[in-house]
Amino acid sequence: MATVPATARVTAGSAAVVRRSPLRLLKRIARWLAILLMAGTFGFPLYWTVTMSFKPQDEWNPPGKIFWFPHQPTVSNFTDILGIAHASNIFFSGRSRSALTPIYHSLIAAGSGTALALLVGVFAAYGIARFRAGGRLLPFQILQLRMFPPIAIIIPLLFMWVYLGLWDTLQGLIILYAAVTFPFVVWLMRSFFQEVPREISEAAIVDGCTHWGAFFKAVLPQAKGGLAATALFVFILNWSDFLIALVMSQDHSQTAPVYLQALQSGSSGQEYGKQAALAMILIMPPAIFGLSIQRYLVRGLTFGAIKR
Amino acid sequence: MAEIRLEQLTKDFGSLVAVRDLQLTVPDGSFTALLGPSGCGKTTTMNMISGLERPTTGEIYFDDRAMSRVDPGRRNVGFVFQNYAIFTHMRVYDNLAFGLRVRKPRPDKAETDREVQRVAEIVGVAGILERKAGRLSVNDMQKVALGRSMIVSPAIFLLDEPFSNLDAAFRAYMRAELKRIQSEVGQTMVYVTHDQVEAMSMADQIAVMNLGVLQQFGTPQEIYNSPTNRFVAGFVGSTQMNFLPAQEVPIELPAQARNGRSVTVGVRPENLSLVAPDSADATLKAKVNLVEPLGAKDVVHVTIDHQDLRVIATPGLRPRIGDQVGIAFDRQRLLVFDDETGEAVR
Repeated sequence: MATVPATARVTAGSAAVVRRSPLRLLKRIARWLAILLMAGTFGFPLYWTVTMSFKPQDEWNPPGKIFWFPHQPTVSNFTDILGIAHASNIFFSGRSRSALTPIYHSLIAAGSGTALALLVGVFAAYGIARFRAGGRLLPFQILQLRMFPPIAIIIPLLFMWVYLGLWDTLQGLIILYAAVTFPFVVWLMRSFFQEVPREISEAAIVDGCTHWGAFFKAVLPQAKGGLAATALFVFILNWSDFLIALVMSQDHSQTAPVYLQALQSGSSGQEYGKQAALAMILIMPPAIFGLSIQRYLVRGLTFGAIKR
Repeated sequence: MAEIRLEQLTKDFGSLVAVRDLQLTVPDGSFTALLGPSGCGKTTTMNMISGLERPTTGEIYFDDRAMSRVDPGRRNVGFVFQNYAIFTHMRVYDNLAFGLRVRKPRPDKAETDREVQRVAEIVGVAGILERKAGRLSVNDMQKVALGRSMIVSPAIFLLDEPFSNLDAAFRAYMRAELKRIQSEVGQTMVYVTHDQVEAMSMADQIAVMNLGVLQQFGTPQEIYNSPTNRFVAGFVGSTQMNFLPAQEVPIELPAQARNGRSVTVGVRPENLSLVAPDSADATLKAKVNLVEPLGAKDVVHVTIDHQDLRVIATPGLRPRIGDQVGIAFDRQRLLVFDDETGEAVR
């Protein structure tokens, strides 16, 4: 009796699989189609940029023809941009310099702006989260700085910056970048600090720390995942800024996005290949930054310090 | 080692008075429990002793030294929190060494090593010193928290419901451990709990608080046997005390107890016993409502004219629900409370 049903079970089982499979197969195909569609939507522009950066000039945008991939791949876009093969292109449109200086400006402006925003914002956020500094409304008052589009204030700011001698200086950009990202730092870090139990700082204080000591030795390390995430987010915002830099910088502080937009010449119009090459280069700093702090990004948002 | 003296200590948060006129002396080297329901002011009291909160009025003395203007880090107290509050980003070793490293002068490495090792042995984490504190079990976390507050050899040890997040078996183990540690190092310990069993089993003295006001301060026996008011009587005792209007108890109360006032009789469930309804000892007759068998004893719930009583009975004569039983009183153990003030009448 015990051995007989074995075969019966197998038959019944496979029959059930056969009966269910068409619908299942359909579902799987639909799912994969949806995934491909999404991946294509997001992936194609990236593919286009990557391939474009390796195309020679006559493959960029020839009339009536599309090059889906570089037929004669070249790195001249990169070398031109970086000023390595300057003389090779006589139509270099009178731009006197390579992308290196704008990239350097971008690194300084976005990096220092991020650092300044963090420096001010992290302390503000801790004060708000831990001591309710400034009262209930302060966080909203800070956020309100972001509640109108930057374009609405950029012209008055331009006049102010010219008057103050900050226009077309890196310092001027740094201050602006710090100011516009400061609210994000406060809001993000405030919630990360709220996650750190109050007892963490109290324990450190009873053990002999000052409030500052407790903050640096006990609280901030507990929130370092949040700090890493905030730093990356703010850096990307500053790094990719176009509008502020377009208005506020010219020669002495031109940033990479502005330089990129200006990559055009009278003979060929938009220099797509070079723009793509520069875009490829500009992806790298945030990517490197992100990868280097990935450890904290993944891990930092959960705290095992307290049982709720 | 230090005696703690709280003089007229009051703390208010705006209109809310968390602690009112608290007068309490915790003897040097004693183990004192602060017992009370949630929100009774016990944690606020601890925070004031440790210095995390500043009293609104009143003063705190450690051995005749006024402390209320002294920074928490300079009071030489250890504090164990309910939520452990260990630093999960550090190794166990660094957690234990934390208190030493923020002290001035900072001890050298050999001394730190020695102290960490000593404390790790006492609390039982010597085998896991290199582990990341965030990866520990809840039980080990609490051991680390205990060790971290011990390392600076505080004169006063404050524990705020330290074991309430632990599972029951480990809690019992840690209670015994804590008693052992205390008898070894002899520090003054103040232990906050809302669990009266914990307070009764561990403390030399218990301070019962309610609504920010100290209700009674005494040994566990005093608290249990002669509560000063109805709140203490009802709060302490694992099966709650029975309260009956005096007119329903046909027992002659001492003359001064009555004295024209309306009073309530309080009697603990173990001072009542079940007898046959027609027995001469049966002071009251009642109907059995519910029987809770607890192994060594049964808690029998009975009803007399809509009054519920709890009686501790030996399991041998377990009544059935609906049975008529007689209730006998241990007349030596009756307590009388004034209905107006709630105070015990003696």
